[in-house]
Amino acid sequence: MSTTEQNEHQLDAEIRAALSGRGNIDDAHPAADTLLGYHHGTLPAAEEEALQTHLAGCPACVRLLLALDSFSAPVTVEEVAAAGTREGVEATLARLPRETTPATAAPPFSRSRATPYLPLAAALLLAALGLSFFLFHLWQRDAAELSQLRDQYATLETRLADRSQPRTDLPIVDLFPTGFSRQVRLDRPRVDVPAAADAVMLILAPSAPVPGTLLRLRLLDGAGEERWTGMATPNEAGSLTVLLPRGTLTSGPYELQLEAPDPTVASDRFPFELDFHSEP
Amino acid sequence: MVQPEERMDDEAGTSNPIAEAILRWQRGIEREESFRRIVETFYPLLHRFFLRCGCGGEEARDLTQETFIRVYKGLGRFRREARFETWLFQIATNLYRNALRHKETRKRAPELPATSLPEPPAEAPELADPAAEAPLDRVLAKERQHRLRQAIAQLPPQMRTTLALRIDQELSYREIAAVMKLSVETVKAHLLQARRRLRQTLAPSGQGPLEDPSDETP
Repeated sequence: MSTTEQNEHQLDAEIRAALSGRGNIDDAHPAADTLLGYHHGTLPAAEEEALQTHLAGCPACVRLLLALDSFSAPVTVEEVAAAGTREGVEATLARLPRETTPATAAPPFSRSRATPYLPLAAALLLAALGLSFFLFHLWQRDAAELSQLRDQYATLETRLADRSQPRTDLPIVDLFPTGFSRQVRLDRPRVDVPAAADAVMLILAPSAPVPGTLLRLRLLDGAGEERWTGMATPNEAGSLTVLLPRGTLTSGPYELQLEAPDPTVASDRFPFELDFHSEP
Repeated sequence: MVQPEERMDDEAGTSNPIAEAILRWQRGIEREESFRRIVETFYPLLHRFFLRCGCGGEEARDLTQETFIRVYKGLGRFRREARFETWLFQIATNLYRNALRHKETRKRAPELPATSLPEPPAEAPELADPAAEAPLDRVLAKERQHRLRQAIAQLPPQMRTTLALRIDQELSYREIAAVMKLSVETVKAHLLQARRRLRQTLAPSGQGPLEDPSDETP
């Protein structure tokens, strides 16, 4: 070895020793993206300089950077063979985690794998049976309640329809005999009323009818007790129609009194008798 | 020749078989076959990558397979607008660094229990080695190395990195040029200039610089 070469080696050895005392920078590796950016020349100048400083002391990153070229270089057929690609691919596929293996690639059902699931299947079957019984019970109870509700609804519907229809069978107490002049009053007419009647209609005519005048009506029973009061207006013909609610009316004598607003006008009195009876 | 350098910007994946394979895998269509296609395409490329990183054959094979297992686990979350090769490089880089770290840890771990090893002399190496240099020489050597470190620190960054890559990491000119994105001639010029400056620093006062070799041997 010549003196020049000896000097060269001595200097390099000293430089190597000086460089080796720079400390460990292994914990500050640049990210893979930074290496890629440097490789593609897209890093800002400051980052590029910082990375070069890191590379001076990091053989690992230098190797990564040098190997990065291989990512963009085509692979030759020889390299494919040298890498043991065929065996490597099979070995890789065999190492894939089983739990993330898609369902389509799952192994066929076998007895050894089925055994652990038998208790689970039995438990599921029992649970399904229990649930079925419970649902059946619920269904039965609901059906009974539904039937009851339907009956109640039908009853209500019937009653509603009944009340909604015009009452053609309403008992009418005409205090004047048919065909007679309205000026002639019957003396305490007696009217048969079905016990189930909801109301009694009275037809009467005031002595001095003033069409359009509001009259006060009072119904007194045989003992003189007031049983009902109301207001009514005679029509143009001078007659008056009063609908008496059945309420607590019972069989017996009654008197309907008409009082005009004018106190000088005497009250009209219309006695009559009601006889409630059960229908045959 | 396998050409994995295809962009994944075609959503339908009709023009890019890898993009199509990823799309089919993510949609659950023939997953095993789709993933096999990905592995077949990139296996030799990754294997070569790990070899060039300095891994041995067996280690390169293990890291390659491990990379694909990571890919398999994360492929469902892979956004197809990203470049698959970039993602693959990120995974491979992380695995390579992990492997290096693991090796370093094993290297630092003692082979035998510490109690079974004899304690090295802490001080006074001159007593242990009578042939060791005299204390004055050691002081001078320390002083010389201190001056050298200061001179290296004062070199321009690019020149300093080039020097380190050459002397500390023993890269070839071509490799340094690739790493530093310089021409081979610029690398040589940097090294020549760096050595010249450092020699001047180390030259005894009153003397000229040490002999300056005019050429570098790659």
